[in-house]
Amino acid sequence: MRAKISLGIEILLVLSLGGCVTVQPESHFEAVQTLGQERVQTEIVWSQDAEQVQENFQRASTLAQDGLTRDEAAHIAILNNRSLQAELENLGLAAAELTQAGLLQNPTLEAFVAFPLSVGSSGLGLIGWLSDLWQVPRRKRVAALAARQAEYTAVWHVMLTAYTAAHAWDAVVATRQLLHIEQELLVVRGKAAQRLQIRYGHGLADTTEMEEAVSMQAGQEIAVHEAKQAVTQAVTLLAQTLALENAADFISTHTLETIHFEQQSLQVTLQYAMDNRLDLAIAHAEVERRAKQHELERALIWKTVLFGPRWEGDFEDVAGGENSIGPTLSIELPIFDQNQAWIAASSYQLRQAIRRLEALQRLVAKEVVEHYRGLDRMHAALLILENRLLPSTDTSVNYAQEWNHKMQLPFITVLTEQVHQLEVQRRIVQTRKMLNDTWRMLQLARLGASPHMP
Amino acid sequence: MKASKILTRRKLLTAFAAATTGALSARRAVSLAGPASPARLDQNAELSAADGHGHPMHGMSMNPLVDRFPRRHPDIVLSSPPRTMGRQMGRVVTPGIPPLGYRMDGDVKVFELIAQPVEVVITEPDSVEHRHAPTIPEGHQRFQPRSSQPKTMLAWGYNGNCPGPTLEATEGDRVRIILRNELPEPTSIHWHGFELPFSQDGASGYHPFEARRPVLPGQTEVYEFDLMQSGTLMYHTGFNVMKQEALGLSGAFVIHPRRQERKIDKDFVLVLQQWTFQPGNPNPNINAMEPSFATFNGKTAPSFPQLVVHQGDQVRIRFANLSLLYHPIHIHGHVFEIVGTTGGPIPVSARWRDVTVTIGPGETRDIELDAWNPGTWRLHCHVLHHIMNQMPDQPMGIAPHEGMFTHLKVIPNERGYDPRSPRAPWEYPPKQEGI
Repeated sequence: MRAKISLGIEILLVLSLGGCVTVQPESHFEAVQTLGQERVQTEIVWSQDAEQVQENFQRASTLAQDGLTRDEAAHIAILNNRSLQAELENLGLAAAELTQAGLLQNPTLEAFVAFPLSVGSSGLGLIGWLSDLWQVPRRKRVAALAARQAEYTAVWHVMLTAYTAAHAWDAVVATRQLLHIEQELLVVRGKAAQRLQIRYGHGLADTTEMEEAVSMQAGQEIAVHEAKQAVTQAVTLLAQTLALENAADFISTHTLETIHFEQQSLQVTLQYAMDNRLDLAIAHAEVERRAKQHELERALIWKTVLFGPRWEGDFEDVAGGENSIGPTLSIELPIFDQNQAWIAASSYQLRQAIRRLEALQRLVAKEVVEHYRGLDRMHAALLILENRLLPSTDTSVNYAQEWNHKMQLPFITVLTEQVHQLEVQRRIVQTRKMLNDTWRMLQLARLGASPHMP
Repeated sequence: MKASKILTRRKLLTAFAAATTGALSARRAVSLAGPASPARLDQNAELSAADGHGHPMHGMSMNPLVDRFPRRHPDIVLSSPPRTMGRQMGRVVTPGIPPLGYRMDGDVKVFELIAQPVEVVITEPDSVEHRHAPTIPEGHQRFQPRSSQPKTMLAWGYNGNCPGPTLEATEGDRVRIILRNELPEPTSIHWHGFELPFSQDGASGYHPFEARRPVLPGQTEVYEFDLMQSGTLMYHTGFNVMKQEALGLSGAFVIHPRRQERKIDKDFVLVLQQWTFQPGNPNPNINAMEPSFATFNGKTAPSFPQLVVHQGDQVRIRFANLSLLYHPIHIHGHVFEIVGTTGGPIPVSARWRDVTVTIGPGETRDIELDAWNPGTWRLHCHVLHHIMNQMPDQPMGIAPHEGMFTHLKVIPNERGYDPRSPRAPWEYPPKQEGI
């Protein structure tokens, strides 16, 4: 009797220890760090409690204090961005899913006690899920693939956060520079309107020219308002992305420079994207996961198979009475429900995943070629603007000023040339910003995912 | 000859002394004039080679957004014309422009001219064609000339008129002209074609070689001289001429000879001017070289009046060209004789008959004719762009009579005679000598 009690205690101990499995997301985060740091060249942090959140906020604030650069903006965003931290929690969820998928289903303890005790036989059985033997490994494989997808998705959010921060930083610098140019244009167009009125008084202009100058001035006032709104949008985007109020105040740069880059050939870039893009990796994992899911669904034909020891006898006389002990097997027979629908659904999902993968490969090619060529052309346009148009307008302004000074050109010509000069300067800033944006888009196309990825 | 080439000690000392004196004098002269003295212009000094465009100017140091040369002085109240304005004391008629009389100060005829901004109606809103539209016969309606568009000009003139009134005097008179400047910038009057003392010429400025400085805004200046010639002469601004003359500061000055060669029944003065306007802008563009309006006495047909004479009248028409282009003026139905230039009457033996007389810029021409041929004869510039307002810059259509265009209307002596009728009797008279 003592021995049997001891056996019972040991069984309960084993069962209770079986419930002590913990969720371990660290390995997933390490994978995210490895993949992410390759892509954003900065430390990736997962703040898992309030203390860490506060600590990272302090680090972010300190980083920003001495003049916020573009790279620092990306770093701070990864440290401090709340949306990214929320996305990183998916790693814990994936780890939990994986852990849960690996757990055996709890055994069933069943007992039958006859009343009165002396009259009939009683029974006691411990039934386990024999079907877990073929279902759990398959479920784990599916969950492991989902966890890998979660890792890739987290890296995508890291990239997106860093690039959004860099984009917002560029936007702040560019929109401030553009606002300054628009304000200068307003001054010049105001002077032009004033000068045109004088010219009208001297018979040198007609009403339409004078009114056009007035309307250009009014239009420029609108442009200044729009430029101010663009600054507001950029500043608030930066503050939101970095989760740092007044982040834009720490930017001391006044001129937007282009990102220095060296471009590989289109073929190499395209191949690199095919090998490294996160959404492609996610799609590949999805195909694999759907295949495993299909296997799991097929395994679920024999959904419930129970097996365990069972005792029957008289509680009153366990030792000497008529007792029997033996294995019991319980099978849910797949007569009506053979899980056909879910097997078919998983098959469709698999085919869908394959088609989506193929479509994504096309999209990758489209995006890479588009941004690669866009970068080339943007760069060529910038070279023309900086090396030909700007010097030309500078020369024209100097020429107009010199010969106006010598009273051989009207002042309106000086103003017209100044307008051209400012318009070229505006276009340079816009092109530089577009170049930087396109470079980031190309990096996302090479290493990340489509911006439209759900 | 040989002895003169020998360089003696005495000659050497003399030459050295002369050279030293000359050098010192020259140095003194330079130091007095100063390197940037305007005297250099007077002395026709060599132009600086700097940038190939002469002397670099100091440029516009003032704010270019302030109108430093407005068309009207904000503080000067414009005077009414002098009392003598409108008093016909001579013989010529300047259609569209009131005459200017004079007062006598002893033996001196005193004229008063006030230079001031003026508003000139070049054409009236209602054109003759428009008013006569109902007379257009059946089938002709769609060929009706388009209406002339009204045009008002903000110009500069004298005594409220642009061009200024015609001054009339007689050879041998002494005249005094009092000029009051009510413009926003200095001005003067140049007496174009006059033989007079240099101090009275009126071509004023700030160079030392010029006799007079221009009259400042709000101030008055007097010119006085004897008239030593006769003919059709002109007066126009003598300061900042390109601008001020282009804005209209000009007029005619008729000096009658002491003795008339023959009796003239009608004596007209037509001042020829041209203007450029941006569409809709009443301010003339003085920079443009392609004028868009051509006027007789500041007006264009159809607003310019006809020259009305009677059959048999001896008619003189004096053309004074103050525009920048040549104008060949043609008269229909009559041969005329060109009898005078700015220099005075052409000797009888040198006169010639013609039907078109070309008057160059700065020139005057007098023609005389016998108005024997009844009718309403066209008188116009034969540069045909000049008989169209806004010239070819507007849709052509059927053009009305505009620009330098009017009619010499010869009223028949016989009552009821209608020169428009093909059945009207017409007799070609024997040609008179001299016409």
